[in-house]
Order: sequence, then C-alpha cells, then structure tokens
Amino acid sequence: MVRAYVELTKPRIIELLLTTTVPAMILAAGGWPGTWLVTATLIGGTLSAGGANTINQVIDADIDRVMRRTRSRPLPTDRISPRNALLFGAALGVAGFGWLLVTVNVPAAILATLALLFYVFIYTLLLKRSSAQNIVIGGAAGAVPALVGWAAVTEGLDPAAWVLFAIIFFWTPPHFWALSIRYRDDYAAADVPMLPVVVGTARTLDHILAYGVVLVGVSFLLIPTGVVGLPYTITAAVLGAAVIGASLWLRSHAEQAIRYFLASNVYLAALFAAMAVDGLF
Amino acid sequence: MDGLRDAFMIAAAVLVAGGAVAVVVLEFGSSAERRLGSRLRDAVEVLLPPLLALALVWVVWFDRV
Repeated sequence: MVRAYVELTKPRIIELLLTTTVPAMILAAGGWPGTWLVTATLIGGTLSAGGANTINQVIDADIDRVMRRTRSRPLPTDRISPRNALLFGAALGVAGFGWLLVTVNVPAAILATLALLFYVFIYTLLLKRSSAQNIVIGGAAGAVPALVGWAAVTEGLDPAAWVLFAIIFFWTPPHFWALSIRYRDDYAAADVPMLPVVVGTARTLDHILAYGVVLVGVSFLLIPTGVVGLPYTITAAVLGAAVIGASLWLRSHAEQAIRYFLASNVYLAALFAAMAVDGLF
Repeated sequence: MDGLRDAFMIAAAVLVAGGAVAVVVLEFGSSAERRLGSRLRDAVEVLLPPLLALALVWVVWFDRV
C-alpha cells in the first residue's frame, strides 16, 4: 500500500526535477549553499512535486487506464481510491508549501506551489486534452524547480535563473515528443492530442529539431551571464552538438525514438552536473 | 574568457532566433485541419515560447558580464 502511494508521486520524475534544483542553488550561491538549505529545499520540492504528480494521476486516471505505459498505475488498477489519492496529493502540496515557508523562504514556497497549481490547472485540466502544444506550455511546471532552488538561496530571480528555467522549458518538448512518437497509438486511443497524433511523426521530427536548436541556444545563454566558466562552456558546446546531431539522426530513425528520449535525460543531467562542477570548483 | 562569452552570446542569439523562426513557420504552415482550438488560442500557444526565448536573449544581452 505504501508502495502504491509512492508510485502516485512519480518518483522518477521527482528525481529529474531535483537534479536541476541543486545545481541552480550552487550557481546562485557561487559555491555550496549549505547542506541544511539544500536538504530543506529538496524535501520541500519533493513534497510539492509529489503532490502535483499525484493530483495529475487522479485527473488522468481515465487516460491512464487506456494507455499501455500507464495502465498499471495505482488508480487504473484500483489499488488506491481516487478520493484517497486526491487527499494525499493535496496534503503533499500543502505540506510542501508549509515546509518551504518555515525552513527556506517565502519566494521558494510560493514558486513551488505555483508550479503545482500550474501543472494541475493549466497543463492537466486545460491543455493536455485540448492542445497539441500541451507539453510545450505545460512543461513550464517542470522548469520551476530550478527557480525554486535559486530563490531558496537569493530570495530573488536573476537573469541566470531564468536561463536555467528556459533550458528545462525548451528541453521538455523534444524529450516528451520522442516518447510520444513511441506511444503514438496509445495517445491516439486515449484521445490525447500529443503532437505525433495531431500532425504525424514526420512533422513532429521537424518540431523536435527546431526546439533542439532553441534549446542549444538557450543553454549557451548561461555563459554570458558570468555564473559559469570554461567547464560548463565546453560541456554545453559538446552536448549542444550532440543534441543537434541526435535530432538529425532521429529523422531517419524514428522507430528508435525511445533512445532519443533516454538520451535526452542524460543530456539534461550532464548539463546541470557541469553547472554544479563549475559552481563548486 | 571574455571573448568566448561574447562568441557564445552571439551563437545563442543566432540559434534561438533561428529556432524560433523555424517553430513559428512549422506551426503556422500546418493545415487548418490540425487546429484544435481557436486561431487566437493557437497563435498565443505557438508564439509565446519563441517570444519568451527571444526576450530572454534580449535580457541576457544587456545583463551580460
């Protein structure tokens, strides 16, 4: 039963969210921001993200029931009732806000909660079932943890913080579209207008390349802000070439889109790891 | 490092601008059948991310070290 509740929070997504929070904190502080602050921020971020993911699963239970990728989740398999799941999600969200408010600061608490509300109301309720741009706009929620990390240290948001936000924001569509190419039939069966369902795979590959170009450009924007040095510069250049190369490769290997999806996780983790190393040493 | 920062600033601006134009052309070049919402909503959803990216380039340009 405990495992089912943990599953509701989508732990893998939380892991990814948190890998962007710590480097943001390091860059904001110009070094290690303090173990307690990092720990407190990660706990609060986990609670908020967990709440958002849980409520998302409650709302999307009907879709999850239809799709192969998600039909074994706790709600489609009736391991948890929708009511209990909703209460759990709401409790996590409130706990996240309260925890960050008490142990970190007001801006971090507000940002984390805004991300939850955006993910639930804008992405899940408004966009997901009605817009082919759902993951583009809705992906903003996943980019907020970097802002939370920055604000946890400085109580404000510099241009560099917004570049971090933008990196994740423009990473999300190609990342998710690659997954959607793989599960296109499932999304079509569930009547979810993911881009491959609406415009087809070939056109989606064009979009992936276009957003990949923007992503690389945005990743370069961190360099002139002065918060990173040569290690990040070299890493961003190498990874940027890999993104463009992979996006071009995908155009003739669409059946291997899942490899692109998995590689995009490595890209983001490596880019933010380079930020952390740059900030610490 | 200063020269390198300037070079990456320019590269960033070129890539973001180029990618943004590509995104807009791709979206508005699609046939009407794929439109799920109103034209205004579609326009906002399509234009907002590229415009925000360009705005960020603008901000970093003037804030750069």
